[in-house]
Amino acid sequence: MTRKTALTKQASNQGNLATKEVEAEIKTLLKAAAIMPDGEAEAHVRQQSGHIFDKAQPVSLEALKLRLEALQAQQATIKSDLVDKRNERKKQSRFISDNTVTEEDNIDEEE
Amino acid sequence: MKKNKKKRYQSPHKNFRLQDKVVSVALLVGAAVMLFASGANMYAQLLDSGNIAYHNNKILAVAISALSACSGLAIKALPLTFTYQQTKNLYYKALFSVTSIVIVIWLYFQSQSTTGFSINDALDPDGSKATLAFMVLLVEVLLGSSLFCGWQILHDSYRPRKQKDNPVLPVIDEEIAALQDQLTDVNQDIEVTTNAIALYESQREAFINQLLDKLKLFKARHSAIHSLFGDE
Repeated sequence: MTRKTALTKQASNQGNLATKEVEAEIKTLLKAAAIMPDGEAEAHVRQQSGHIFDKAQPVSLEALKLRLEALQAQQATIKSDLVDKRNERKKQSRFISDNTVTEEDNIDEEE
Repeated sequence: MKKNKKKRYQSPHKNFRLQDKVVSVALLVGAAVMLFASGANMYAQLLDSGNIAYHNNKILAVAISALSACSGLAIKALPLTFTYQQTKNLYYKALFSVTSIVIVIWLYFQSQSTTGFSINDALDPDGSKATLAFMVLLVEVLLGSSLFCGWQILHDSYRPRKQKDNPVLPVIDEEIAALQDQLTDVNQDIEVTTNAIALYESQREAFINQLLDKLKLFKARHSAIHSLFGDE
């Protein structure tokens, strides 16, 4: 499986949270929040549901962000290398003098 | 026993094939004739101009005439200053093309001249005589140079090539191509990862909202039960 396919598959699996463990956690959370005042209950659910979601993912958001940073750093390095190589190419002349062939060599070959 | 090689200069002409020898001589003779003709033509025109200075001082007329021949030699000598053979080839092609065009134009002017080579002033009311004279001189100079350059090309073909392609360039090109491939891969990975992050965040937000909706329902049901049955 290529890296691209793996990432795509991982992205498509992110919404799959229908495991029994998660459902149990959701029930517990809702029961606990039901007896809280409205504002507090909403804040509690918002925070805890985020944790439940994060826990259920195969790859965390932090890992994805770190990966993106690493890729961007790699991209910057490659771009810099490309600029260097292109500058180096500009400095090189298309033709160079061929010192390996002399007029005398040519005469010898003819003889 | 090793043969003791004599290090002596040998003209490439000695290696010429018979056909090339004949062509070489023909080109040289043709070039010389053309350049001499341009000088002679110029000399005749100077004397024909009626200027007393040229009649009294023929050396002056000869000196000025020699300029046209020398200009032909200068046109031929210019590519000797070029570093690259490719530039010389380009110059030769340009010279041959210009010469061909000038010959065609000259032929047109010549065909328009009703008096042929002996141009009659009476039949030249619009001044085409001067144009024709200019065209003839131009053809002579350019043709002389072109023939001389042709000889030079033939001569150069028997010389060893003193330039070669820079071997470093293909290596650099390969490295650039490899880097571009890497960059394409990394760009694709960045795109996929960015999409994955966006999807993650949107699904997380959707999940939270879903639970908040469930909470509202849960609370509504809880308060309904509470109001129905009270604290019991």
